[in-house]
Amino acid sequence: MRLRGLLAVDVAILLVLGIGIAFVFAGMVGAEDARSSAPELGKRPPAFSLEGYDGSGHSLSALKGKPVVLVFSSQKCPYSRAGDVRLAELAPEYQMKGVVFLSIDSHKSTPPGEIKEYALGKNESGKKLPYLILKDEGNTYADAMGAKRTPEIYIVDTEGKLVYHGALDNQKKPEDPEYVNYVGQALDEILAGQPVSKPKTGAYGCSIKRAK
Amino acid sequence: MRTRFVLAAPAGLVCVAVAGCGSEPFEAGVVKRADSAAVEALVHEARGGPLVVNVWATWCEPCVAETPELVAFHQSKMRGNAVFLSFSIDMPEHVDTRLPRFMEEQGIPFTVHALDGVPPDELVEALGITLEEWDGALPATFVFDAEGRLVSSWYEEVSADDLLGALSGLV
Repeated sequence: MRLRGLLAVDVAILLVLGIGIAFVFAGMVGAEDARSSAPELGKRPPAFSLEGYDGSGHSLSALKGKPVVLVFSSQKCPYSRAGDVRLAELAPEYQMKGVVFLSIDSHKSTPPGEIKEYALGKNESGKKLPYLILKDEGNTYADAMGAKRTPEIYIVDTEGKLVYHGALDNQKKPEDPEYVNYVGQALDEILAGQPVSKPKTGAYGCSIKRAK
Repeated sequence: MRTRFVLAAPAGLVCVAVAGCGSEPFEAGVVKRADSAAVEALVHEARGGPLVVNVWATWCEPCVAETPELVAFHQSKMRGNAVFLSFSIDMPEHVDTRLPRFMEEQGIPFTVHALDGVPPDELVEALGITLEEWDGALPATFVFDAEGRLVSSWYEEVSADDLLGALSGLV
């Protein structure tokens, strides 16, 4: 009887220890996931609150109900600068249909003053870019999104879900019969209430130079 | 369409003098445009032996910085029978101007295939890898074994020693 009582106590202690260890491991796995998570297609991307070169504040939550095109860009990257020219041609048509375009600069050594000069005309188009560039200090949002290069584009639909991740287009010449503008195609589908047919594409670009 | 030019004399002479560099004697210093079919054919032709692929552009600072290392790698006897493919994604307007000028300045002895309307999706497919393994950030360098398996990759500046080290593991 005494032996059975001792065994019961041992089993109880082991159970408590086991549950405790399980909780510790569960917590570690959760923390690891949080560090390495890039948003999945079909899920809500991480929220942001970033300041534009004009001093205005912007958050993803404030844009609820509108398709949003987020473009990680850098004026230090020639490929991204070339992308801005093509994006500046594309944006107005869709902005008239309620789409929001926001560019995000996460490059560690581009201060807001330089971003402002670039956006207001010191760029390859020679004109003011038709969208705002937000400064992602410390590349916090690039980390949250898992953005690696510039240009790298994400599109959020009217329900706030990520529906596209990749390139502006398929890098063929616009006059090529095989030319596809992935962003324009995705926006057309979103505005027509259809699923995005090509939700992920690869994109050449410069690595984002991170502060940490 | 191709652009030919004469290599800068010192680099050209070194290239002729170093064994291994002469494996592409008639292609040295050439820019060739490559569409998706050409890329696929180049990779297919290289299978059966080790393959090193570098994707770069003259507008990419770390790519420019690693160029002397790639030239050294290409000239090294230790490269053995490994095929080296250089894919440039320079902008179309630079393929006949800035790119050959840069090659001449750097004494690049190997053929550079300027990708012509080949998105990363098609390039990774031709290489037998996925967008999860590489989604387009430059520079990118890959080492494949004779069976076409990716054995090493770098998404930052690579050195000749890095590449030779990776190849030595395949012998």
